[in-house]
Amino acid sequence: MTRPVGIDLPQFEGLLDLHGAKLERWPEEQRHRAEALLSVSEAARAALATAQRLEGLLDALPVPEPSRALAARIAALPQQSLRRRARSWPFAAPAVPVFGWAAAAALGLFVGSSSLPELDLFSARSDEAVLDGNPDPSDAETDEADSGDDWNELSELTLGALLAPEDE
Amino acid sequence: MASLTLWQPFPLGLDAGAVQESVEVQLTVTVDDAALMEQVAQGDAAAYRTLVERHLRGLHGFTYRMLGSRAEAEEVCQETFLRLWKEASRYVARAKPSTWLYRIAHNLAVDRLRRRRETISSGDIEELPGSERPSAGLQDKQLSEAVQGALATLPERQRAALVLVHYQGMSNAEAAVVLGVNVRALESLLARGRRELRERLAQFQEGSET
Repeated sequence: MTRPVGIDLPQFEGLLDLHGAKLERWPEEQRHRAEALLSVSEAARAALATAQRLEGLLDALPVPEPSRALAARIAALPQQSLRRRARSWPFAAPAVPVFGWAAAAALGLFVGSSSLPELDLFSARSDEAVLDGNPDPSDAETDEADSGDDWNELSELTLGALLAPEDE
Repeated sequence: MASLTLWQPFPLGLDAGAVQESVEVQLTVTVDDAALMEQVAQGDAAAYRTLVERHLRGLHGFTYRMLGSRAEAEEVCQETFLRLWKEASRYVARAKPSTWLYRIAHNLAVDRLRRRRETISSGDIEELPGSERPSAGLQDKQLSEAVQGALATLPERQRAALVLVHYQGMSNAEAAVVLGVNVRALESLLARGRRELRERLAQFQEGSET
């Protein structure tokens, strides 16, 4: 069995800063080395005592418990959140949806009866162009023609590659 | 925490005298935090309350030690749990739910400290009561103020590292996740923080030796 490599006082002090004065929380290997040093070094024991006093001071610092009122407020957050969401929903009141549907129907009837003859219901091409973000039908047609050419050229190239004799 | 009571009749072949007339087993089934997080993400308020019961105390201690103000600690806790309720679906199980909560609380606390720094000059910070050198006959209250003041004047990341590891009992790896740094960086913060504290409280430590 090999003996653990020892550490000197500055290394031990560095480890105290790193891991604190509770040796049981140190990584096992480093703890063994520290214990070996502590068994022979008065200065190391003094350094450990200083670190323990510092932790004692930290432990002596009281911290207030969370109040019951805080716990109650936090526990009630889901209900408050749901209530707020319900208030922000515009159709929360029971009469509002009825009114909304009636208004929508009236508007639909009005728009339908007044502007129906003026609409070009058969110019689906123009609608597609708008949906594509291209408001000018002539541009769309040009694009379509161009893309058709590209596709044909691509097909020819591919076919050409496939049909080309291997020995050429 | 849910509790479950099972009644088990006599197993066949066992002498009734050898066992009690009935075996009532009281089992306490503890649902882990990760499962509760999934339930919260689906809008389960009871699961949310269980997480509050488990973590409010720790988060309150952490935020109080970070901010040094009870009122602000309460506000940060409230905001942290509100985020839990609203954003639980965004939790990814790479870290423990508690680590995720501490990370939220840490970020909120740091935001507050930065806002506070914008309104308080560095001269004001030096005048905080705890940063005064404690006298030999220090009373408990003064001692608390001295330690709290020494903590308060540490750079915020050193303070957070110390509070998470020393007070919250986190491992270095877990605290590193909360702070969003690697373990080596966390260890460096811890070492510098401890050295700073030792220097700031040196006079008191010498006093306590005698």
